[in-house]
Amino acid sequence: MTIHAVQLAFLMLISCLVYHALREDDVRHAATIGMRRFGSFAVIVVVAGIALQWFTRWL
Amino acid sequence: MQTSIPRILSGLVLGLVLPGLGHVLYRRTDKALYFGVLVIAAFVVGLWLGDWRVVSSVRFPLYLLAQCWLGLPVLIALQATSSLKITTDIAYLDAGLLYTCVAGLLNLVVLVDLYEIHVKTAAAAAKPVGASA
Repeated sequence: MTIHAVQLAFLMLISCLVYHALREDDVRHAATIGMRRFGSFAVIVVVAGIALQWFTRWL
Repeated sequence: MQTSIPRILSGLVLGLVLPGLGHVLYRRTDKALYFGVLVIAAFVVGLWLGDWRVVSSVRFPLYLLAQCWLGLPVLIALQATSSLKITTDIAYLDAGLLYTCVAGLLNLVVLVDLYEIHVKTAAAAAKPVGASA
């Protein structure tokens, strides 16, 4: 389970970094925004995962 | 300075040989390094997850269609790992295939970025001196 999450997170990180580099000319700025966007995604995914786990247990 | 069409064609060919190399032609060295490192990192992690056996024209011919856009790294991987046999279950074979395919397809996206840089450069060159936007 954990290793799958790590694999998914790595792929998501690379996608975020490439996506923002396509939109920005300044690579350093693109990397900063990409990391920040990845962080937001990661928080949403972790919170949603915990909520889902809690909800299925509660059911 | 090269004319427009040969320049973008050579850029695309260079980008197909090695991820990011086409950007060097347009003097975007930082972007070239950035894309090169990201795409090759995804490819190498994919190879590692698949126990170095995920690039093969015999075992995974369809996956090779997505991986081949990476150019030289795929050729090297084919040469170096095609003789390896799968004798046991590889735990993350699917993840390895996914990563290497994503890396190949990401290089296509990088080539599209190169084309956009080319269009911007050509438009800037065509603009008369002193004209404002």
